[in-house]
Amino acid sequence: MLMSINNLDARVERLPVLKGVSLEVEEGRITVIVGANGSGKSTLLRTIVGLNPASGGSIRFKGEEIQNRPAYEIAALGISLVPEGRRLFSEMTVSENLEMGAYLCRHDKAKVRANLDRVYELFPVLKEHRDRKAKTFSGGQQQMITLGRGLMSSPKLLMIDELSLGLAPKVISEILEKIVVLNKQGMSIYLVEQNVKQALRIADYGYVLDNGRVAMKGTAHALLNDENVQKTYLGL
Amino acid sequence: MHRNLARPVGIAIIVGLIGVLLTLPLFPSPSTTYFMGLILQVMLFVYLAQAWNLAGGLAGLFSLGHSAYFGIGAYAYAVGVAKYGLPPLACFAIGLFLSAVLAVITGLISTRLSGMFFAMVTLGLNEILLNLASQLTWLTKGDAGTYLRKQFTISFTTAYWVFFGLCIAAFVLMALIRHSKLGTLCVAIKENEAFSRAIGVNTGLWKIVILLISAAMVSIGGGFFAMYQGIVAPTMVFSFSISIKMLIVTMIGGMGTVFGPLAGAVLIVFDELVRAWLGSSFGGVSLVAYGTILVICVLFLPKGIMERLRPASREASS
Amino acid sequence: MTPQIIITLLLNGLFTGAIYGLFASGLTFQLGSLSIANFGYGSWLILAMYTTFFALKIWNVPLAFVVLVLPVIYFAAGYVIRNRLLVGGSLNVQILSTIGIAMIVDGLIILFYSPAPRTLGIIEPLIEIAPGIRIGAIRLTVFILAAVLLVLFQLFLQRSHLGKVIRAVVLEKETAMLMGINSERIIGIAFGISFVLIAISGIMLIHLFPVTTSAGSSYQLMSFLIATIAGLGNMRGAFYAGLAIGVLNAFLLYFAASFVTVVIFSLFVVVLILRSGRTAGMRHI
Repeated sequence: MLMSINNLDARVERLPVLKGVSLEVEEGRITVIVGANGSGKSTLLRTIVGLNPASGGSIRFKGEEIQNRPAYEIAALGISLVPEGRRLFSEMTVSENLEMGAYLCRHDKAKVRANLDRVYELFPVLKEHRDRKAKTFSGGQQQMITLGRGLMSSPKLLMIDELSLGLAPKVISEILEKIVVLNKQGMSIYLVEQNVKQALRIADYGYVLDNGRVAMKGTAHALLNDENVQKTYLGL
Repeated sequence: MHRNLARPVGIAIIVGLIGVLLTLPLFPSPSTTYFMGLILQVMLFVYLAQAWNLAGGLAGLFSLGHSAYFGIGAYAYAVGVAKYGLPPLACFAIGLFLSAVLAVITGLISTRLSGMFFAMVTLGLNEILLNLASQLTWLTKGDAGTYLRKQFTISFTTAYWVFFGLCIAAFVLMALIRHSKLGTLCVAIKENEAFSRAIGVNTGLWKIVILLISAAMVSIGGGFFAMYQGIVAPTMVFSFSISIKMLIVTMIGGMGTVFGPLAGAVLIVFDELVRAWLGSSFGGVSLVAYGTILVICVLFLPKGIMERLRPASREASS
Repeated sequence: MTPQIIITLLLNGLFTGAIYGLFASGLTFQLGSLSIANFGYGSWLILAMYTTFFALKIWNVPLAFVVLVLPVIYFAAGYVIRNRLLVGGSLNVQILSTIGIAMIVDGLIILFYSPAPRTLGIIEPLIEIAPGIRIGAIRLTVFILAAVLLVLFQLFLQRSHLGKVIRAVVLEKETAMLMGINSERIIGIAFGISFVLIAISGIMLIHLFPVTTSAGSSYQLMSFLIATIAGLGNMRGAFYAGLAIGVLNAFLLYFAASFVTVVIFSLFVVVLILRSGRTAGMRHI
């Protein structure tokens, strides 16, 4: 088990958001968390990665307890978060953004080079415009930059928060395809998504978060075909 | 248990304090005179701090240039009686008027500038006045200062009572305002100005109102200060160190609280004692001590002493 | 009012303004990029000036030594102040902490250096570059040095790895942490670097002007003025604004010496009010 979360509680500005969340992320799989707005999905990611304090429970990554450790330490352990809203270094160029993503392996020039090539291979449009400032790109392209940046540190686990926000469906599919490619190459991926259908289609396993608790879990296939899920989240 | 004791103990302390202050002048002797002098300094600054507290603590208008009103009040009196032979009351009125003008200007500025920039503007305005006081020698006799003849000054004992009275008045005023509609509005503006404006509060107007009251208080204090000192010089009254004292006393005691300035008064007492003990040749030490205390207080008592004395209220909010 | 006088004033003003610009760009960096309101900036400049004076005149330390050692001390001071005292403070806390530190610095200056005004008393050699137009040699040197320093600093920020990391942290402090960057430490380093600018400015300034214990506040306000005109965080703009203020100052001193402060501070207030709309969110260098 790559990551296991046990009974996690977390507050945001004194309000309890996560209440006893337990879940697991298997290595080499695409695990997905879906849920409505405000169900605590982003808080979950932020708590895992150390940007939000955990008030109870535990998070284990590769056997090690990581809750409440500073974010830069958790990044060094191999967890890479692609944050909600992209959060690019907007005044810096694509290549500078990617260079920052490689901070943890900055001393290994060969590795950085290899990762850079991989990112440019996945997203050729970035290679073409690598000296343009990040803020000049479209929403979808910015998402690619953020993804690429997240990959530059050769992470063991790639977590992506709300990939689809503000993007056109076609763009979303494109990027999700790349996610699948990455996964086929061996990357473990942990996706938090509002767009339930698209997310479950590419996932292996899924959790449904409701009001800070895990309401349902199962294989993606099972969840997609579940009546409740269909009614509540897929509008069927 | 804590909470039930705190109230009566606090009241006892204050009653005791007032008692001491009232009876001290009845026993003239070198040591009581010394203490009264010390207390007079403290009362002056507690009064000024309370005035600052209204604008800065209650309404969140973080002004670093409040000494401007002090200087205006002081010079209005000094120049008024010495140069133009006006009756004291008229001088105070002029001082109040000029301070009001400055307060309105500052208030208007505060609607456009936030926090740090507002603070800088108040600093700048004070420096302008300082420079003007220095340079307009035809009016103010410049750096040499304006001297007041005996008949325009007040004696030590009178000053003691004046400042005592002013202090009492200031505390009463603060208590009244704090629990009035004006007070609630100010706190709302301080906590969340955008929200207050959204629900229809005319934030600009109320900021100006509270600034006017604050400025008026400081101006009056300046006038009496001039009366007591007998001389007014630019760096004495348009002094950043006065502005900062008002601020520090309030912050250490507790911004926006009624008794904050009183609690913070310990700082002034300490400062005066250090200065008296070491003498003026060790001016550097008092600065260092002052600065160190300030830093320590800011680090460990960010909300002020009053906050620490209220354990019950802290539990309630969590 | 001959053209020669005007040009002389202009040039000398420019050259002096360069140091104001250098000094102010440290503040503008602190204010705009690090969002730190440092009200003790002037005191540290005065300290650098006094220390340089004492080092050169009284302790007989060679200038080269001062230039190498003082900036390092200042870097350490800046780092410690930011990461031990200013961490996570609200605006009021920052303002008061920095004022408190400034008081301590002022007090130490009086204690150790005594409050007398000091000047290196250097008679500045004048270079006649055209008939009737004389400029100070030291001023010119300082101008060149300041300009070079600022260019180097810009290059550092744009091209070097650490410079990019600093820019990244300034843009997105939390996100930078996701990449394994210890943002707090980087901000401390950036703060330390801005203190180095103060040290160097001080070393240069004492060669041109005398220093008094009360000069701190006018330098402080002047650099706030320059920083605000330029736009927070805009270091190149701060240099140019510094030049402009230097020229303004030179002309004012010549024509209306006693009202210099009033004019400059009135300008300050006016600029602040006009600029008030644009002061939010200035987060790039």
